[in-house]
Amino acid sequence: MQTSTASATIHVALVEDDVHFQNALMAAIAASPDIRLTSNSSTRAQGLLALENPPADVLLVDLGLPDGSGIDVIRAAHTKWPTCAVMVCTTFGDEAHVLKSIEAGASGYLLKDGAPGDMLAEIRSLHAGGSPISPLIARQILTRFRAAPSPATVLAPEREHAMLSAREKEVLELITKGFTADEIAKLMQVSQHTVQTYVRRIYSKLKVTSKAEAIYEARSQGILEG
Amino acid sequence: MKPEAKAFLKVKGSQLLWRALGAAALALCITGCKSAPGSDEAVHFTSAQLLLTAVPEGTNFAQPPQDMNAAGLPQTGWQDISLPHKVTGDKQTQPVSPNAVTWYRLDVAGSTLNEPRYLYLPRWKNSGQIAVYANGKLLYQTEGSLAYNGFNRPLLIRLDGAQPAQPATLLIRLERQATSRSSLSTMWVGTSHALAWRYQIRQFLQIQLPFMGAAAFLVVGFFSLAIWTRRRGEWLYFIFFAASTLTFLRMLHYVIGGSYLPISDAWFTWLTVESLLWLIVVLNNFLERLHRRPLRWLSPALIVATTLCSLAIMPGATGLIPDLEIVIPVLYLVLAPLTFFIFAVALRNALQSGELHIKLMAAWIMFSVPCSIYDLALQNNWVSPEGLYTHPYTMIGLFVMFTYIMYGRYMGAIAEVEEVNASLAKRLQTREAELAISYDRLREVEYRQTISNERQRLTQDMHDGLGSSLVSALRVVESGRMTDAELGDVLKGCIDDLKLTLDSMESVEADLLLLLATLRFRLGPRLSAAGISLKWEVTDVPKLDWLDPRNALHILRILQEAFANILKHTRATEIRVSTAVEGNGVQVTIADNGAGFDVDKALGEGLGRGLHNQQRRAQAIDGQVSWISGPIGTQLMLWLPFVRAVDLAQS
Repeated sequence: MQTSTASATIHVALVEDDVHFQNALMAAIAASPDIRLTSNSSTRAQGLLALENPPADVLLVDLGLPDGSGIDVIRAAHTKWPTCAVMVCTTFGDEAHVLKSIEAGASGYLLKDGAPGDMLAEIRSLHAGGSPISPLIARQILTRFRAAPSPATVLAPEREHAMLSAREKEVLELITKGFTADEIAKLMQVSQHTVQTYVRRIYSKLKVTSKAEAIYEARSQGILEG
Repeated sequence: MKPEAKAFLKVKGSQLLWRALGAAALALCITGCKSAPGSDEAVHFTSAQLLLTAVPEGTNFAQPPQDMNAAGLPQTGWQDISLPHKVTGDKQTQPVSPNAVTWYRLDVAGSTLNEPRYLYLPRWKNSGQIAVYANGKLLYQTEGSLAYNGFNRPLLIRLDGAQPAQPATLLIRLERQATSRSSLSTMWVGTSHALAWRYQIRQFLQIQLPFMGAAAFLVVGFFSLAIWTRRRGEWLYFIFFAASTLTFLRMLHYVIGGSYLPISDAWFTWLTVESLLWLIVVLNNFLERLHRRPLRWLSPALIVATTLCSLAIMPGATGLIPDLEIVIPVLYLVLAPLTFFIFAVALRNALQSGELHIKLMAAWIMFSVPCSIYDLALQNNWVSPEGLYTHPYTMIGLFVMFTYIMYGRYMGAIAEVEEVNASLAKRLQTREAELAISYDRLREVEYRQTISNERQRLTQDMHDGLGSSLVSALRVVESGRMTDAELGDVLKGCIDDLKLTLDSMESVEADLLLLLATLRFRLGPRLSAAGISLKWEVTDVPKLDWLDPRNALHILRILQEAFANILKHTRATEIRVSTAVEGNGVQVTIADNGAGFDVDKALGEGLGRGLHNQQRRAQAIDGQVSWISGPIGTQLMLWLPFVRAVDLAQS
C-alpha cells in the first residue's frame, strides 16, 4: 500500500454516531503512531461546532446522523477547512451516497466493514492525495460528464474544469473494466500515485460541474441575477 | 281588291315591349349594334287580302308554280282580312278539292328605298306547304314533309327577286290539308336593318333557347345517368335522366326544320306525343319520391294507362286509330284535366311536406299544366298565332329546379361525408383518449408487476443467500463450535452478499465487463487477503441487452460461488479471469491453479449443491456453465448468449 509521504502526524476528525465503528476506528488509530484523532462528534450539530476549531487533515463523516445529514457537515468543512480532505463513512460504498458526498466536497469514502489496517491505509492514501473509486461510480461519472451541461451553460473560467481530460477518461474507463489502480498505472505507464491523483481531480471536477449545474439551474429559474 | 285595303301601320305602342326586349337582347348578343333601328324603315302589316282557290286535280302538294302573276289569279273574290289570320277547316271556306290553297296578298308598292327589302313572318303554321312570291316570282318555299316543315320557325325573306325595281305585290301561298288548321301572324316588310333583329330575337326565343335548354338538360341528364349506373338505389338520378331525355324529344318538334327526318312523320308524331305522356308519369313519380306521400294506385295506374295508350296510338300497331292528326287534339283535351288532377294532388302533398324546394317544384309543374293548355290552344288556333309555345320554357324552369334539387342532394351528400369524417375523427380522438387511459393503467400494472418481481427476486435472494448463511451461522454459534474468526468470515460473506445484491440493482448498461469489475471490486480484497493473486485478462465484448438487475444478479452469484469454491476447496495461489466471444455469445472463464476435483462425481453427489445452483442460475438466463478440472487446476466456463431465446422468439 501507499506509504505516507507526510512526515507529520495526520490529524483526523470524526463525525459518527455508530459507537461500534467509533470504537473500532479509535482503537486502530490509537495503535498507529502517525495518525491522531483530534475531535470526535456524534451529531450533526457537534460536527458543525467542531469545524470552528483549527482544521484537521482528514475529516471522517457519516451521512446518517441522528439530527440531520452529514452532507451539511461536508459542505461546511469544504468552506471552513479548505485544506482538509473529507471522507464519507459508508457501509456499502453505494454510488448514490458516495456521489452525493463528492458533489458536496468529499474526496473519498471509507467502507465501515473494512479491516482496521485497511481503514488506516485508506486514510493515509487520502491524505497523500489519492481517492478511492468503484467501477459503478466511475461509470456513473463518465455518464454524467457525457450528458453533462454543454460548455455554454458553464461559467467560462470553470469551463476547462468542467470537462474530463482524455487521460482522466481513460482512467475511468479502465476502472469500469475492473482494473485496479496498480494495473492501470502499468497500462498507462504512470505511477500508481498519479492514477490516484487523477481520481481526486475527477472528483473535484464533478464538484465543479454539480455547482455549475446548480448555478445554471438557479439562473434559469430566476433565483440568481445576471 | 282595292289598293286602299292595304294597310300601312307604323310601329307603335303595343310593340314597345318587343323593342325593349329586343334592344336588351341585341346589346347582349349582337356585337356592332349601334342603336335601335328607325321605325320608318319597316312596315307592319296587320291586314291583307285573302283568296281561296282549289288545287287542280292530281296536283296535291306538288311543286308550287314558279311564276304566279297576279294576273294568273282571279281578280275577284279577294276579301280583306286582318292579321293574324286563322284558317280552320270549316265547311264555309272548304273548296271542292280536299286540299285548299289560301292566297294572301300584300301591297308593298310605293317604296322609295334604295336597298333590298325583306319580308319578316314571325309565326306561321300550316300542315302543308307555304310559298312566297314577289311580283309573281317564287322567292321561297318550305321544305320537308307536310307535318314537319319548320312550322315554328320565323321567316326572313329577301325581296330582291324583282330588282332593280322594288316589288309592288307580295303573295303568300298556303296549301294545306283540308282537315288541318293553319294560321299566319302579322307580317313586316322593311330593310334588313329594321327587321333582322326582330327576326333574330324571334329565332332565339322560338328555336335556339328551347333547344339550348333541352340540350343542357339532356347533358346533365346523362351525367345523372352515369351517377345512377354506379348507385342503382338512387332512383332520383335515373328519373332526372328520363325527364331530360323526354323533354329533349318533346322539344324536337318545335325546332326541327323542313329538312331531312330520319323517321316517318307518323313515328315522329308518335314520339312527340309519347314524350309528353311519359314526362307526366315521370314527373309525378319524381314528385312522389320528393314529398313521400304517394297515392298508392296512382303511379301504377298511370304507367298502365300510358303504356296502353302508347300501344294504341303506335303507327301501324293497330287499326284502331286512322289519323293521328285528329286523335291527338282529342287526346290532349282528355289529358289536360287528368294532368291537372295528378299534379294538383302532387302539389297538395308537396305543400304538406314542409320543404320549400319540393313545394316550388310541385307548384312549377302545376303551373306548367295551364301553360301546356295554352300551347294546345295555340296549336288549335284558339288563341292569337302571334304567341310562343310555352312548354319549352316551363321545361327550362323545370330543368333549373331539377338541377337545384340534385345540387342540393349532391351538396348534402358531400356535407354528410364531411360530417361522417368529422365524427370519425372525433371517435378516433375518443378512442385515443381511451387508449391513453388504458395504456396508463397498463403501465401502472406493469410498474406494480416490476416492483413485485423485484421484491420477489430480493426475497428469494435473501432466502437463498444471506438468510441461510446467517441461520446456519446462528446454529453453529449456538452450539458453541465456532471461533470468532470463523464467525467473522461468515458475517463478511453475508456483507459481501448484501453488497453484491445492492450492486446488482444499479444499471450496468448491458456492460458485462462493468459487472465483472464490480464483482472484483467487492471480492478482490478477500482474495488478496487469502494470498491469491488475481490476473485480470478481460477483453472488450459486445453488449448484452438482456442484462437487467435480475439477470445481473444471477451472473454475480454464479461467479461469486466460483470464487467461494476456490477459496474454500482449493489451495490455489492464482486466479485468471478472462472473457472472449464464443459462438453466439460471450464466455467468461475463471481458471485457478489449485487442486482440481472430479466434476462428474461432484455433480452426482450432494456435495455438488453449489454447482447445481450455478447450473440452475445459468439456465435461468439461457446460459451454460461447465467445468474442466485436473491436477493443475480448474476452469469454470460461463457462456452467455448475445440474445436470449425469449427475445429471439419475440423478434
